[in-house]
Amino acid sequence: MTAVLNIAKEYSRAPAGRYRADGPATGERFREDFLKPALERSEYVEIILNGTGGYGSSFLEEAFGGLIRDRYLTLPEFRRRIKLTASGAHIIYKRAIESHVEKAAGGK
Amino acid sequence: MAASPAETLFPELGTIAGAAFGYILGFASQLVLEWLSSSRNQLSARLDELCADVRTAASAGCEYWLLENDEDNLLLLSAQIVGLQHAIEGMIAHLNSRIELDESTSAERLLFIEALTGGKFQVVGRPLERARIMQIHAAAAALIILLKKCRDDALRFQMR
Repeated sequence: MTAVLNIAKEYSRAPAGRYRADGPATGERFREDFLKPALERSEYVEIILNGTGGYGSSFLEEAFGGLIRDRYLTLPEFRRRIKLTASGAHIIYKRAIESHVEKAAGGK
Repeated sequence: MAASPAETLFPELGTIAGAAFGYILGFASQLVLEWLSSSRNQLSARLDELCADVRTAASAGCEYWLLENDEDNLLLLSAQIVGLQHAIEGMIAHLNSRIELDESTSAERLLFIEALTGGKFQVVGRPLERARIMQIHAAAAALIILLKKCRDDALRFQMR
């Protein structure tokens, strides 16, 4: 079964910040309170990136790179279980996430 | 060959028709050339705006990373940076149907975004990162050069 997480609709249209203390819609909060529970419930998770007013790279690194850094998922597991969906202006954020998880897996 | 009734009645009809056809052809060619020129100018103007947005985002980024203990201004600048970053991406996506920008500038845009909003961006009490100033301007310059090269290549192709 695939769970669908629409960041703009279910989390925030203005995600910002890295750690919980940085604000209400940070990368750490997204990872811990939304993404990990979705991965517990479902084998596959589709994440829809469209609809927000953009993402800071720090948010994306914490939310997605953090999964690998924390050893919650390996890079192959990430690629197998998480599908990122984006179009238009949001395509670059999908590429940024792919870059962050690869760097996190490489320990960079 | 015998003249047609129309040619008998109006001996200069062929000349007039030829002139009219020539005029229409000339007018249509001029319209097409004007349309092409206007389209090229519009594309060029959009690319200039895009480069200006990259410069503005880079300036705001430098200001952000050099600012300390001013939470209101940090909030203002970070919102401006993310907004500009997203506007740049939106414009690239918009223009991509006319000029291939997305794939060809992807690596430079990722470097620019990482320099602008990576690290401890939007982290409360984040340290000053003077090294980022050079990174931001270097990434912005690389992106602007590539955008202009894409424009020149596209306009050269349209001239052929």
